Amino acid sequence: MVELIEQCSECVSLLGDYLEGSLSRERTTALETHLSRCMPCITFVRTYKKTTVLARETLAAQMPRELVTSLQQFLKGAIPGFTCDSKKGDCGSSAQQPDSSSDTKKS
Amino acid sequence: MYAPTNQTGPQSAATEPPAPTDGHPPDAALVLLAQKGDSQAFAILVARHQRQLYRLALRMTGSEADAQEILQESFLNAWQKLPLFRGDAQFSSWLYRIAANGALMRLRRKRRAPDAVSEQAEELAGPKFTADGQHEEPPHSDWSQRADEKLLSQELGEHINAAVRTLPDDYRTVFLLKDVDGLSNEDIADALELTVPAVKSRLHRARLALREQLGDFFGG
Ligand SMILES: [Zn+2]
Repeated sequence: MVELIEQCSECVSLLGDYLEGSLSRERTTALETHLSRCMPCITFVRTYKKTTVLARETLAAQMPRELVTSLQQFLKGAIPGFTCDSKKGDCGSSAQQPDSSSDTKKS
Repeated sequence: MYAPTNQTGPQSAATEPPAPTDGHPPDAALVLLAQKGDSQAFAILVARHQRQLYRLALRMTGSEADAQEILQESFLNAWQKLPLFRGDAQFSSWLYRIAANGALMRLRRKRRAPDAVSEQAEELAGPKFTADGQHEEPPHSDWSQRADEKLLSQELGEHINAAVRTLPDDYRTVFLLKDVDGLSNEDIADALELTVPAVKSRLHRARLALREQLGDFFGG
């Protein structure tokens, strides 16, 4: 016997766990039952998920290439025998000297 | 040389890291080598983890310059402390922890009254419900479809950026690390010294608040 979810607020509070798949089987069934008859909650789920998708697409951060290089040079200077990639053995052949406090000019 | 460790060991089956895609041995094998002084093995570990570590440092401090210094300190620190690392934890978690500590120290030095956070959180927007728990303003407008058309418009990007900035620090950090950078709840909890339920609850509330703001943007 599954305990029903009558309240949309309860449905919303379970969404995080539900989408992550960490909700118990019973609660999942209860939530899906609620969703099957509650249009506002269906819309809510869609927009809730979309929020994550949009944020990921707009905010994804790539490590800047210069930073990869400066890190490699720093470690090369600090750790004997450190080579950046054993396959290429190249640390980004930049002219600048490794400077332990290398402050790159970033905006 | 690298022993091809194929063992999906019993040590922590639930959180076993995915097999490396860089053609090198898994972390555990490289760590053993690095612990014996093999700096090339360590270099592979650096190459493998620098991007996630960068994101963590960037998200926590909000500054690229800080992130750069944190990365340098963290990896050097990790190299020096490597003999103390015990294989019962995942190397990546251990590394995140070092970087997170570096970021936290930096933040504490700079600014920040930590207890301001919980008060701010009370003001986080979220959906409104009636007394009997129904949606107060039924979210009729399903902007999830419209979002595709507008996707990545500069205006939307700026709006999302601004919305994320309004979140209290630790909500924003959790949201970015989880939803944007894809770290696990456990790693985030470790790094930020939170419990996993606390991570989940911050994540959920951050999403709810952002969702409200996106709804406003799409005129929902
Ligand atoms: Zn509902």
